Amino acid sequence: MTTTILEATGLIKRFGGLTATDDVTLAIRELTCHALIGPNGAGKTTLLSQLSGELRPTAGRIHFEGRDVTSADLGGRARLGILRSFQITSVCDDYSVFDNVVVAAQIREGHGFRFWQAPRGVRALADTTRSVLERTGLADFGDVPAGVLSHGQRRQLELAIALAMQPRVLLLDEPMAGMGPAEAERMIELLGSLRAEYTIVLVEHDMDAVFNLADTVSVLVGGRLVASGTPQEIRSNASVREAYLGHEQEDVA
Amino acid sequence: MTLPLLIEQMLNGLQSGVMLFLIASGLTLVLGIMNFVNLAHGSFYMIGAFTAVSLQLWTGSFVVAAVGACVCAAVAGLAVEYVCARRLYARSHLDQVLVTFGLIYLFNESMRLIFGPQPLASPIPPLLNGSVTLLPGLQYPLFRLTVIGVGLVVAAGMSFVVMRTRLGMLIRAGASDRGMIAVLGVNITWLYSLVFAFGAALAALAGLMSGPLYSVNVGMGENILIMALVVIVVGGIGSLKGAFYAAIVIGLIDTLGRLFLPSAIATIAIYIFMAGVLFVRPQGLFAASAPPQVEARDNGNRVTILWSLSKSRQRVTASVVGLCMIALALVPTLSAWLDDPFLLRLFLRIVIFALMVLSLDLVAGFGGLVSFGHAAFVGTGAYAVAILGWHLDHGEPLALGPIVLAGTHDALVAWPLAIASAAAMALAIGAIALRTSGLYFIMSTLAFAQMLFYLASTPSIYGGEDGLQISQRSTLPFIDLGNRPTLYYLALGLLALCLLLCWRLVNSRFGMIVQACRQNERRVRALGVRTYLYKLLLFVISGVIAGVAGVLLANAELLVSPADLSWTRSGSILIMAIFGGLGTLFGSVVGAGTYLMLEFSLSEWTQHWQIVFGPMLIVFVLLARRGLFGLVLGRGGST
Repeated sequence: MTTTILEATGLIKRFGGLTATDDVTLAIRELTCHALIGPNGAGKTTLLSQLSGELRPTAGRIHFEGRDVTSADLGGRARLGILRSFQITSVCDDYSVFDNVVVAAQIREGHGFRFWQAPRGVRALADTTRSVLERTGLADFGDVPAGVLSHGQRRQLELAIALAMQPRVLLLDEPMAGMGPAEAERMIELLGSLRAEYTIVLVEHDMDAVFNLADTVSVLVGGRLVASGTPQEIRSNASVREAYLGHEQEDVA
Repeated sequence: MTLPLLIEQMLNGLQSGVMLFLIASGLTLVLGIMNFVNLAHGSFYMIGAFTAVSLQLWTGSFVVAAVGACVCAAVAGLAVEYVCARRLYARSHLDQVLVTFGLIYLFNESMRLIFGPQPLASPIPPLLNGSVTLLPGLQYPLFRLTVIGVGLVVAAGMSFVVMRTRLGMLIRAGASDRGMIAVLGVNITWLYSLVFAFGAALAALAGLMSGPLYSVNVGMGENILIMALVVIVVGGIGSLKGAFYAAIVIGLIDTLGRLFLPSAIATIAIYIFMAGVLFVRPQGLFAASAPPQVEARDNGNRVTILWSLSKSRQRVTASVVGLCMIALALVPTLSAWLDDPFLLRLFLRIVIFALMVLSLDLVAGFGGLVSFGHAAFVGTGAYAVAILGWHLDHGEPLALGPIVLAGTHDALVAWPLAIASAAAMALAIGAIALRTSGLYFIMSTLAFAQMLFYLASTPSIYGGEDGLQISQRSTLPFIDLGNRPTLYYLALGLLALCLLLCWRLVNSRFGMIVQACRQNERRVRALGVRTYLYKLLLFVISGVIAGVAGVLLANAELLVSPADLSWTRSGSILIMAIFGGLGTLFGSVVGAGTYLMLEFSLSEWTQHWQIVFGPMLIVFVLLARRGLFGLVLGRGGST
């Protein structure tokens, strides 16, 4: 059993009268892929946003490697190594694919108060960038402005930017959303190859992907955690089946 | 201070507050609903005042004059909306600022042509002449009382329309989410025209009422416009309620401040107040909408930076830059050969302005921070040189708290001090202005520059409005700056050095992050970068370059005056930056050269050159979006 790297305890998030996250306690183990599933409106993205630091929980604590990070914001957690990719892709459109990644790589190296040398010319940064692009299947698109990429490629770039930061924990919000079947297939393959090196928290609707990739699956319904376990356990969990999987059972099996 | 006097002054403050509201309300609606920055809004105020005065003199009836002025301004508003504004709603604020700046040139110069340069006096209508006794011992002019009444009635009426009617509902919806009402199938076009014309008519109403109180002159629109911008920033863009309360408070501060505060502080009291508000609430007191989209649309003026150009384009670009620099280096020789000293003067000015534009391009083109108060930093540098010289000449040491300076003309002492002052000013203004973004940033830099302008205009040992003469150029060892070609070569050398440093800077690690912030600040912040510090440092670096320009300006002109800090100067620098192409660095030289040569040749041709220049500017912004140097660069990087 590997060690816990990111841990949420008694997490509650209320928006006015609505409780979007209802007393969730969750432990993400190092170097595993942990999927969050649940029907629409179950509060998956809300939970992920609290893990990433975009939303402050109403109650409860979040620990990263034993350290209380509840009050750290998105940027603060990024500095610790908790990186999030966005559901709505968010890249620098004027920059080439290469520049998008090289900026992330240099941010990883430390502060950017260096005023003379261009990061593109720095061997180490260029190498990191090239290997990340290679890995995410963007090697041939280095010179293309990010603004003209296809939707799927932008998601890949989004992931490449996160990887260039060499994250400790990668929070992925529906990385396959809006992709065609072929693109989605490639993304699943890519995520599969990352599983051994990174800790991944994945929010995803695509059940094939989830059961392929995840070491642990947690099921959210109405903001509550109803079940958590290996894909097999979740598949055979009667209450999950009833509450959520139901009609998708055939696809899954 | 007696109680009646205090009440009288408070009524005066209220009166100036409601006038401000009449102007600010139209401006804030246009900003909130159309997301359109209309700097020419003050022109409607001016048009209203001029039309009212002339109609009143002609017909003798104040009522006819009032109605005529409002109708006239509304028609002008409709025309502006139809011809210019409509094409710019979807464009960047920068484009809007430039086009409306062009409109100011056009309107001001037209008024000057029609009515002459002399201020007009407007009689108080006989019915409203005289005063009433409000309290024992308190007589108050009936006309001012009427102004307060009209203002409050209009405010109440607008509040009713906005809160209680269907039209008002559309307006409110538009102010909080523009896209939404279009999606709901509302015909926005007429709503936009209506709001624009109505705002113009309200400004004219304020203008016609101002006639008997202040003088009617060309340029009256600009002063009030800046005050109205302060009102809007304080009240929150798009909020009528905010505009109302802010206008009253600012009217009171301005009026009572003149009574209670030392004059130097009184003139800038409202700006200090605004800075305070922005520091606590960067979105103003009553922001109508949730924080507006910080990610401003990418302005179409930007061109991809040199580095990402193809090899052949890089060569073309490098040759153009090289040829231009060689040509600039030959100017003193040419000037001597042609025996035309004016040529050298003109090009010295071009080189110095190129530095100013470069400084602005750094923040606006690469950082996406449109500073509309850049003249403030240039002026700070220039004033520092002049003030140090003055203290030496007059034998009065300059005491800055515990530090006492004898004053100096020595460049090795004065210049670093001047540049450091400009940088410190950029740090102070940037620290507050950068808490805001988008429009609030544009407005607050403008307002801070205005603050310095008024400070410099206040009568003092440094000359006030007349400016400050400098007795001699700065002295350098081995180099005699008294010789104009030498000064020119020094300026050109500094320009080349700054261009080189900036080019390295924008492509460095720091520059890459700053540019990433311009494109997608949220993204960069999500990667753990404290973007505020980067933007602030960029602002300070820009201030340093502006300081260099200021030092040279002081040495070239041997006179500094508040005009060097004015917002029209800031506007010109911005226009030059757009002319040359934002985000191109070398475009600054092209832009400054084009602008100044154009200004020179037009003013040779006609004294009313602005009436030609204004429309040229409008057409240029509407058609050419990438600047002149952008044409040389071509479609960089997108292949």
